[in-house]
Amino acid sequence: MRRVILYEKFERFWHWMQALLIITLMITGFEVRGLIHLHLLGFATAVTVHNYSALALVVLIVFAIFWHFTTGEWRQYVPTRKFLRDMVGFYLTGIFKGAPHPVKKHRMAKLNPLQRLAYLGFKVLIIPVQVTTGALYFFYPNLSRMGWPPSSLWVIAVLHVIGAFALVAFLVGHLYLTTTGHTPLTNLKAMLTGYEDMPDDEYMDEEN
Amino acid sequence: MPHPPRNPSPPRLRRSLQALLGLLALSCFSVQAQQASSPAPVGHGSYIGVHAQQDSMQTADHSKFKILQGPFKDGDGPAVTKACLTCHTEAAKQVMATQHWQWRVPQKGLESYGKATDLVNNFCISIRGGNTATCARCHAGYGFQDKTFDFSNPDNVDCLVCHDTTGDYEKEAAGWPNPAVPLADIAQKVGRPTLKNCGACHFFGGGADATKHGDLDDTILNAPRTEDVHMSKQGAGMTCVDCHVSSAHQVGGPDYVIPANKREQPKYPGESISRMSCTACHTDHPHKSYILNRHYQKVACQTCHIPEFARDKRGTNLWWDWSTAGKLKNGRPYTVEGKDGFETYNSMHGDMIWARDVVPTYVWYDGNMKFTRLTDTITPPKDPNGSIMLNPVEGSYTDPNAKIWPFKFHEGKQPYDTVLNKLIAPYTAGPAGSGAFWGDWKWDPAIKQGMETAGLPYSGHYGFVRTTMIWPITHMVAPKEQALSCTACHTQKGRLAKVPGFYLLGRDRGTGLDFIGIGVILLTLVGVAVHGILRFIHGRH
Amino acid sequence: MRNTLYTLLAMAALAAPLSAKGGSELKGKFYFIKNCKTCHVEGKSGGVVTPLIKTQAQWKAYFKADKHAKGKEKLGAHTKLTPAQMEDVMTFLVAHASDSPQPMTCGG
Repeated sequence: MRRVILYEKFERFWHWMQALLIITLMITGFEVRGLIHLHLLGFATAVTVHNYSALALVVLIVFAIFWHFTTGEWRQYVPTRKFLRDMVGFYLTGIFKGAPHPVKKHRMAKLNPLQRLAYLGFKVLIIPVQVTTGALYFFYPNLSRMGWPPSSLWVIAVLHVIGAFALVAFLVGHLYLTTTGHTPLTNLKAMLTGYEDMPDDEYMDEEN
Repeated sequence: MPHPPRNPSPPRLRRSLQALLGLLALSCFSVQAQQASSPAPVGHGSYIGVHAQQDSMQTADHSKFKILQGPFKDGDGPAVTKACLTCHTEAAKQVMATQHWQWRVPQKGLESYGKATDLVNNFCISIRGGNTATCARCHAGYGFQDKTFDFSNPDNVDCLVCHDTTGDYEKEAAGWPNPAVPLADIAQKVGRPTLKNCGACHFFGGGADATKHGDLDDTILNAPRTEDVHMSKQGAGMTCVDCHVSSAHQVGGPDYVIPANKREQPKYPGESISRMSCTACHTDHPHKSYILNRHYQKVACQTCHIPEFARDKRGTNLWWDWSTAGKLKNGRPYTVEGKDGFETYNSMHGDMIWARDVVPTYVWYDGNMKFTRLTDTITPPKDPNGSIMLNPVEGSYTDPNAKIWPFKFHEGKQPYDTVLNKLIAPYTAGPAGSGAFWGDWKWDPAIKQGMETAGLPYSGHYGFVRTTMIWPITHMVAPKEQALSCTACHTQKGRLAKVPGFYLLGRDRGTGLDFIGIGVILLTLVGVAVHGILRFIHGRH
Repeated sequence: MRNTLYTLLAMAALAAPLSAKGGSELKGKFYFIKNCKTCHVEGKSGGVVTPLIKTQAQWKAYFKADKHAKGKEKLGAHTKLTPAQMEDVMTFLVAHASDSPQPMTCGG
């Protein structure tokens, strides 16, 4: 067994802040839409909280992008086909038979090919769509003054809502897959403390 | 207490001075209030301050003028006017240029609108069919008996109806003062118009208190703050002319239509006399919340801040069915009172519906309305429940000047010429034997005589048609704590459920999209659950 | 000629108090509103009084009896109305009594 640092301080802060903000956005967003009839905050408060959370998230994302590029961590998300088939196979069958994880972790390659795909999609598709449509939504009165037709607000809203549903689905899958580590709580613990104790054969040495 | 500046100063400076004076007055007041342990005034102290000084703003004591000592002959209004005009040399000329005198809109292109024109309404229909003398109780002049009235005689201008401060002035048929009115006494006490002066006619539109407008009735004279923050004495204590600022006797306010070039909001009271505006005093960003302020682009202030109209004890008329008028009991007219104390039938008017605390109807409105006249051809709807809109409003989401406005919808039935398809001006107000409807209770002669008096063709055949009118609601602004909450509109069956042309958050959600979205989430949940259970089972093995 | 005039005037003076139409209906309406209506409106001490609450004969009898507040005082005791003005008020009330030809007025 060896103790490996997987997630640095900023990364953990970023992850958990993002989680908090996105969950807040989800709850307030669905309350504003009228999808949940729980009057948790009330419409006006929900709108205010939603907007401030969105602003905070954008600031956080700006810092995260800076961090990803200065540290080179962005490379973690470069998609690869290597072991992709093995990963799918692992989740479909291997995991039930107690087969070993097909991909070894490395400090600079801590994500398996499926994670790479999923997180990349999250980062370059869902989040940008939500941020863009959200910003357009917020500034719509200014856009309509610039001549955007009234129907554009409808399109913006629909895209934003589709993004929101995708986010929820992502969250459900994400939460479940955290339990597929060495033990069900291994991954969660790693995200909280930053390190993971893993058997030697699950870790790929730098030299290899 | 310092006096307000006598010299004209730039409006902005004057306003800030007034506000300063108001603040001073308020601070003095609150100290006194504490000592006297009486409740401090709620609302804008600045206006209370200004009003406390209004008496001292007058620079003339009219009781000192010999020419106003009288005596004036009973009911001799023109003699008083002559006396007024000896000093106020231009006043009559100014009044005669206004709609209060002409009863037609003095603006270009709108000359065919006004009470003295062929315009028709849902209430008393028209003055043209011989009702002029009765209706002219509200004319700012003397002797408007029929269409022979001399609109160019300055002595016939009625100064007192607007400037009486005693409350003793009463007008009768053709606008003559009641002969018992103490003219000399009133003439010596003239002043700035109060709520009562304007209210004497404008609270009674449609023939009786609260009938027509819904946001104006005589309860405003003693309104609690909850009924009208501006005009209540516990509120700002304002009078009509504080907003309806006048220039050369032209009282500010829209005349049927707000001209296109006046639809931009004025920045201070009086800047534009064709439209009163909340923003003139409150600015266009009065809320702390950026999002609330932004609503102003598409939502009139009145929409949220007048949650209901007719909010005191008076009911406003919502339905007036002339087709059932004229029923008699033992040869005499009668009335029927409903459970709520409002008249449900009156032989003079027919079936009626009155209501209090009415929720407005919301419509896109850019300031323009098209009014129907006696000379316009109408298309009676084939559907028996169909109605002709007498004053359709213009405006839509895409119109940059249009906002969502609150309106009173009024429906009724009125006579029309079934052959010529035109509305009718019946002769209603007259004694028995005159042919008038309220004298002889027969439509045929009343219509025939009315159309003859109006000088309009009549085929001899009449029927009744359902007509709708809508009236913008702008008075009876409620205190801010009574303003509508977000979910009054941002919900599926809210107040704006039927306002078309735009996407409204919380109202418009395609249920299909939500269905698919929730479906995807549920499928994901089922997927991970199955996966988890399988893992659990295999893990045991 | 002069005699005839005097005779006519004397006849008119005699006839005036006898006729209900002697006063001015319009003036009467004003005095009624300014005096009677200060108490006799909804929510005030006197209770609602309108011309419609009595017949023409009842109004005439009421003024003849000259009693107010259930007989406690003379009619018009706390007004400054002169007898001529009181007659105007009666003329107005009679003209718009419940059995009059025009009981209801527009704008009332």
